Order: sequence, then structure tokens, then C-alpha cells
Amino acid sequence: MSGFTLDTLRECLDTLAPVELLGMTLLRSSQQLFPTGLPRNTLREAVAELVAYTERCAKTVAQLMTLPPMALTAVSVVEYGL
Amino acid sequence: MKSDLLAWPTFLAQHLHADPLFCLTNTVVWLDPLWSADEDGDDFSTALVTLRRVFPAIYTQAIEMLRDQQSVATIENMLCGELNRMGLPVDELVYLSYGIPLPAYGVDLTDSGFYEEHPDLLPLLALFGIAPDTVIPEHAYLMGQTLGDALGQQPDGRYQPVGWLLLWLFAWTGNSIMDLTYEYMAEYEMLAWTPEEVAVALDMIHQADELMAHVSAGQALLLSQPALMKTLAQNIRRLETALKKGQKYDTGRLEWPPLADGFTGTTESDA
Repeated sequence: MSGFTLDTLRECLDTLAPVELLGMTLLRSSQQLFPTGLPRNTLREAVAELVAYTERCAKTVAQLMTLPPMALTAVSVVEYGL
Repeated sequence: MKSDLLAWPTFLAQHLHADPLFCLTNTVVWLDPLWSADEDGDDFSTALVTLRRVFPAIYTQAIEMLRDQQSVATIENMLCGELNRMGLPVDELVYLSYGIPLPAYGVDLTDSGFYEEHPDLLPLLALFGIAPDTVIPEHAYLMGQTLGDALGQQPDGRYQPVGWLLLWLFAWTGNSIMDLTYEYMAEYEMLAWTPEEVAVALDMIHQADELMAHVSAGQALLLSQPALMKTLAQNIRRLETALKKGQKYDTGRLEWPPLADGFTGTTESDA
């Protein structure tokens, strides 16, 4: 962890590929704001995935909000070097 | 000019979708507009929020209909229809907020309405001393349950439907949908709208529907086999005598007549 900076953290997060949900794929391929005429099973799969993704995000946010503070005595983040 | 205006949505969509965040936002607005709604709204929106978690296909259909500017009443009818098709008895969406509604096929032998609906069961119930508007004999339930269990254990599987018929009549199937009337079921806490409890509810409904088919088959078997009815009467008397003396009766000693060949034990024609 020595020498870990905010830039390093940003670079690390930047390498993560954006989440590609089925709904987004369908949206892009349709070139419409509200696509119509899609097979019902495909839509159901897209909605189920989106609902599950939303709930995962909500849970993550809830966990982060209750995260206890942790002393990082061995980490040097120079941007917050006060 | 007009064609330029018509091209705007496509232009807008192309540019919005090029950005992952905007694309995600558009996806949410399109497929899951109630993502942040809670369950404190009116009956309609509460029902949609509930269905969103457990039946995404129905939720999707409702959202499509809303976008298509169909009336709330039309969408409510669709929602109730879809839930009923799965076996969940829902006449009005207001009931969804209490929990998962379940059907109740249970029998109330003290309700005269039951005998009006099932006059064909009167001869069978009479063997237990049960008739409309009379006090149910002390040992009737125990005898019905014991004989139902015993028939279910017969090596000839065609007896099992008759066993289910008795277990249903005397509330001993082990499936709450089969054993409880609506009045009794209302006293229990309802299952919650979680995917796990929905799976349990649908499993119970499926099992109860299968058992009710066995019950009908058992009834058909009894009506077509007078010898079986006669033996059942004799076995009831044996059991009753033992119970009145306070004795336990080994149901393995009960004898059952051999069934006629060719009888399938189902509600289908045996021809």
C-alpha cells in the first residue's frame, strides 16, 4: 500500500469495464429512447437483471454508509497530507 | 423541417446511449421507472412496486401498458388476471398489501353450504355419522384421518386417491390450502412478497391442485366400487369400537377389497 495515491486509485477504478446490462444493449441497438416490439422474454430478462442490479447497488450504498472509520497509518495519500 | 424534427429522437438516442451513465439512466426510465418508489403509495402503485420484485414479466407488461396510456382499470384487470392464472386469487389489488393471497380448499363440515355444494359426498360422510345440521361425532375426525393415512399406505396405489379424499374431508393432508377454509386461513400471518415465499406459495398451490385432482379421482373410485364403500363402512365401525374403548387400533389389520381390474384410479375414463 506504500505510495498509493489518489491518482493510482482513480487509474485502478478506470480499468474496470462499465457494467453492460441487457437493457442498455437493447437500447443501443434500437436507437430509440423507448424501444417497442421486443420479445417479452427478452424484456423480462432485462427487467429482472436491472431490478437485481438496482438492489445490489442500493445494498452497497447502505453498506458504505455504515462503514466504520479505519485508521490508515501505513498509507500515504499525498493529496490529503494535512 | 418536419423531417429534421422527426430525426431528433434518433439523434438524441444515439448521443445519449454513447455515454454509459446516460444510457443507464435511459434504461432505468424505460424498463424500471418505479426503481425508487416505496410501498406507501396508492393501491395501484403499491401493487406495481410489489410485483416489480417478484414477477418482472408482469411488471414489464404493466409499464408497457402505462406508456401506451392504457387506463389504470385496464392494467388492474391485467394484473389480477395474470396473478389468478398463476393460482393466486386476487380480485382487487388492495389485497396485495397484506401478503401473498392463497386459495383455501378446506372443508367446514359444520357449514350447511358445504353439503349443498357436495351432495354426492353425503353417503360417504354418513358412514362417519356426519350429516347436515347435526353435531359431528366425537371420533369422526380421528377416524377419517386414520383411515385416510391407512389407505395412502396400501400397496395398490389406486387406493391413494380415496385416502386423499378422506384426508381432505378431515383436514389432514398437511397442505394448508387443502386443510384450511378461508375463515381459518385469515387467522394466520400471510406469506410475504419475497421471491422465496412466492416460490413456497406457488409450490403449495401446485401441490394442492394436484391433490384436489386425486380427491376427485377418489370420489369417482368410491362411487364406482360399492364393495369398497361397504368395506370402508366396516372398517369405520371397527375403528370406532376400538376408539370408544380407548384402545389403539393397528390400521395394518384393516382389510380392503381387491379393486376391479382395469380401474385406473384417475378421473379419466377407464374405457
